Amino acid sequence: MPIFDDVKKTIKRRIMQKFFVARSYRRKNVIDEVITDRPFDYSPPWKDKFFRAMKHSFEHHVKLSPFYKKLCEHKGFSTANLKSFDDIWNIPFILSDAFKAFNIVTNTGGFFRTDITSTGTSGRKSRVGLDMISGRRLLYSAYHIYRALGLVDDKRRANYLMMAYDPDLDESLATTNSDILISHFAPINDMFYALAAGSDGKTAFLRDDAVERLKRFNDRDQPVRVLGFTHHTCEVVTAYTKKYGMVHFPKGSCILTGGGWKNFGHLYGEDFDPIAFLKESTTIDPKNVRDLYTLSEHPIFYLQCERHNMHIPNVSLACIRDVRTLRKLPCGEKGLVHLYSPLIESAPVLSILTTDYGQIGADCACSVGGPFIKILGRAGVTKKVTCALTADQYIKV
Amino acid sequence: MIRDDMFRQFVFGDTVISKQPFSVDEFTKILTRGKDAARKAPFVPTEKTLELFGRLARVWQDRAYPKRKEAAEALRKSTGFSPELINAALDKFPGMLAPETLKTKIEGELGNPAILDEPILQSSTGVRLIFRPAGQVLHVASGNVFLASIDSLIDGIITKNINYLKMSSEERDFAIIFAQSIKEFDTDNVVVPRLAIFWWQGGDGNIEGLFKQAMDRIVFWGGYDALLNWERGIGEGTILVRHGPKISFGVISKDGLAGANLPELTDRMAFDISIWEQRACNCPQAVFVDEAVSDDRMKAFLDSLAGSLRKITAHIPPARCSSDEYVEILKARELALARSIVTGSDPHIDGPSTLEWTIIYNKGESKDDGTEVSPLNRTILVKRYRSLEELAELLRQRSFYLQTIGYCLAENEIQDYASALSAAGVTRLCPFGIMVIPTPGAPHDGASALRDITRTAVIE
Repeated sequence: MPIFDDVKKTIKRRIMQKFFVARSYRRKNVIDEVITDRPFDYSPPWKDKFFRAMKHSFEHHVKLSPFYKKLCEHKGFSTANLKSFDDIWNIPFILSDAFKAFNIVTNTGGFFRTDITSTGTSGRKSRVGLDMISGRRLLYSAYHIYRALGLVDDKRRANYLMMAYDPDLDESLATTNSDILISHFAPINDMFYALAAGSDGKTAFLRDDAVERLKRFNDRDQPVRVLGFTHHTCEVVTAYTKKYGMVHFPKGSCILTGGGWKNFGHLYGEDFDPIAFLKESTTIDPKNVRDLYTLSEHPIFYLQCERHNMHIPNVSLACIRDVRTLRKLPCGEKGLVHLYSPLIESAPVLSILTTDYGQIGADCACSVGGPFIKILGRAGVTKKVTCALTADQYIKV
Repeated sequence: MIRDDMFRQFVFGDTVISKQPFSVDEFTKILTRGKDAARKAPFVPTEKTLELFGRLARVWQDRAYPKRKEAAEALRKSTGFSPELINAALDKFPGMLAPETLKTKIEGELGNPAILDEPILQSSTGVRLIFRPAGQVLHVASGNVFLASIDSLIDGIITKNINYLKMSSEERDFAIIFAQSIKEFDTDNVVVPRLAIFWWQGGDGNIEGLFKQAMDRIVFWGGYDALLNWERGIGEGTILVRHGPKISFGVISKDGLAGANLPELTDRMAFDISIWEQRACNCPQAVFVDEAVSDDRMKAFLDSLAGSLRKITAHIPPARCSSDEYVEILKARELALARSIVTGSDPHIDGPSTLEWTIIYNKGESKDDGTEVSPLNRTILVKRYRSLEELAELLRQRSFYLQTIGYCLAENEIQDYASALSAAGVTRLCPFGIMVIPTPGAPHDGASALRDITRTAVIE
């Protein structure tokens, strides 16, 4: 029913905006205690709060997610094993790829606001159900993270160039939801989506339209916020410079990228540095170019600081695991990224082992504080030179 | 010793140490030399070539032979295979070179050992046949099984072709060491002036374009992307012989399992699974077990297979894997666990936490996942099948990619299974334990390797 769908989309959008505009919400349980206006504060009381939140989350999912209950039984882990903060590291994980293959939920019985879906860069999409309370937690935690990293401006209106899917196409994509959310961190003056319905009604990258809109935005005395996929941002900047020369952004502008790189990274080569590229082609202050790491299975925002390190907010924990033994590795060593967060109630995503390589750093010179994470690329399927049919080939044949 | 950033190539008897692949101009000159050699050189009598291989077989039997020691060390570094596996493979290598093996191969594939030298009467038609070399042959090696490309090269040599071998990026030593070994014993210069071995980065359109136009045959071993690349723009006079990517399975019937000695059966399976770390196209990636096999017998089978994999891993340690390969095994294990929870079946995921080997059995597997591939490196997927017809239908979905089926069947079932599975696309059926050891002279990938690189002349 198209009319019903339209109404549903509009309601969703308004609810989302309302959540954000309200900026306060009723706290439900100990999990809410970890969401504060100091998202990078790791002082001792946090540790206790976080442990209690994770324990509550664990009990909640074991009780209401049959899948997670069986998984924990299989792995021999129960509440009795969760005695202190360090036990959090042993909470059974679900591999992020499992959400691509199966519908894994926690039966909260609440109103499901939306599903968040990955972009499907590896061929299959993840789908994670998000209920009202979890969505609100994510919104507030994201707001505090962006504010702490200097990217919230309540006063000046901004023009948004969205290198993202128009929500009217598919509102449930994780990147789309992130982009809608981020577009509320400065009041909207004007907004243009570069990935929208083309003249034939199919989704298209409206590069030339985006260039023209960017030109119009730049001619105004208001900051421009470019949000979304890195590849499409680079494409528009390249097309812009060919037509108009260097991109002169108004003062206070920023470029907030994230997602979709796995599909396009190979086009640029291993040495490509988006920040250096944008520095050469635009007048943007490199400090205002920030990349974001987030997953549909773990929709916490790992946003870069001015020094381009992705700080780990205190609503989550991250560690790096040895790919073979799954041993927790010390700072600086490369392995699989393992993420923990208690915020989501509607899916058992409290402990997610990703298939991304990364390393943890501890000594960023910025003022934000806390550890940061460096993402080093997608792990797994590689082009093997073998005459045996392999998984990457299987996808193609 | 050569520096790490350099590599060796072999051009008609000369070893060239390079930092870069040859340029297009240099390749053009080499191919011109090859073309002249193909036109001018007299065909060497097969007997003389076999004598040379006989000498080579004898020296390669000796573990102390310097070239063998050099090869073992180089292979250890480049392939990641354990020294035990490399030595086991090199122990088999002289058998590949032995004149008796090569004579069997020629006879099996072409009909008569002398048919490469003189016309031989074909009794069924009354005509005489002689097999002549195709001319210039490029063998494109894959890095997974170092003996496969050498086997292909030997085929090229005994059929009197001018042979070029493109080494894989992963393994750039063994073919050169073998060529140097040939030179050591080729006192009559019968093979060396007709043999060149190179490396360039696969996908280089300029270099590959030359070969695509100049070769009479290109014998390709490798994966899907490379195969597509070699198919593009191939010359009118060039025939591409395709080997890979292929997939192999195992099948166990109720009656076959009932009559089997479990430890012996699973030891043979463990050998097929482990010997090339499943990186060869004839290694089993999954084994289908008859649904009629009882749960108790199934459990005994799985336990026995685990024991056999444990045992062979103690004797032949697994290869060094890349991080990505370990992640693939981890993913397979975790997704299998998730699937078993979702389907409500008991998860059976066996194997050490250090990922040396893995057995994944999901009783509740959906039919759609039947031909799912293994992440390799001693990861065997165990599945059930309801009937031979259903199994054949399942395999038919990947018909073109099918190769070997290892079997444990009752004697009276073999004919039916062979009939149904070969119709589905399987090109070889054999008992477990010899999946990775094809019979010399038997077709490979459904065709005759020697016929693929020769031309038949008929004298009526």
